[in-house]
Amino acid sequence: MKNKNFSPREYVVKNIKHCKWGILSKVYYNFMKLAAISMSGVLSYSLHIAKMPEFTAFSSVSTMLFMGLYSQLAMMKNVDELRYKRLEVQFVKNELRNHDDIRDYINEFALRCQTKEKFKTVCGVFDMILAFGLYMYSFVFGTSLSENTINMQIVASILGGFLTVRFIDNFEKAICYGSLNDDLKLDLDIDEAIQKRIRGK
Amino acid sequence: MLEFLDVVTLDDNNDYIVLKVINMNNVNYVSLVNKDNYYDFKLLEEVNKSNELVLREVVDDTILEKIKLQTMKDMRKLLNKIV
Repeated sequence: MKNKNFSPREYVVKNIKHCKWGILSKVYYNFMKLAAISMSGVLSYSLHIAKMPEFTAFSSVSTMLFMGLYSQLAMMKNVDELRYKRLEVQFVKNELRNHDDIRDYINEFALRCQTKEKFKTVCGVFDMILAFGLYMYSFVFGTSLSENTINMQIVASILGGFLTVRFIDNFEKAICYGSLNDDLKLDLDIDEAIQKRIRGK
Repeated sequence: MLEFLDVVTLDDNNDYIVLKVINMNNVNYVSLVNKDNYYDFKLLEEVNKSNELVLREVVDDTILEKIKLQTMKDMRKLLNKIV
């Protein structure tokens, strides 16, 4: 038992910041996502209906720009989430005193990350193939088709845009889960090395 | 009142992230981890002193054990939810 006369240390909280994604960041992230998807539709529209080369060039550059910006934001968001998951693991590790409990907990967490990484990679590949197929249908095959088919091509390109942002997100999530898994395995290796050294002594 | 993922600067000028706030007997217990060193971990209680937020170290073993148990239960739920 601790000495009851021990006076606990007091810390004054100087300032409070929030490290969650604020409303503005969320709005910006979702705006970029929607912009990237809708610009794919605009590109298809400009190619099949407007038939203006300048408009087509403008919309294709915009689509690439929005996709690029969205990809950056998605990476930031996923890295942030990964950081907090890592913190949570650290927190539980601090709470568990028993060595075997810690190993079990980290092993379980690492296994879940590995499964999630594989799942996200498969989803990403699937999305990428589908998006590629839809873009091929929309932009490459026949520009002189009936009006009904042209409308289908615009829908296909919007769907392609949606699947592209999904595959970007899935791949980035897979990278993050993979990195967390590697990090946890390294934790276990270091832990094992320390335990061996303790037992050796 | 502090919330999950708030960043606080304590009087030692280090930044800490709030990991968990547990309310027990109308007292908020806050667990913090240093932003730059995850091994620097603190379990403190919220105290209001003349309208200033003060965090005080928890020294009572019974309270520490209760919070630990509560945290473990919550973390199991969280683990199943996030991964």
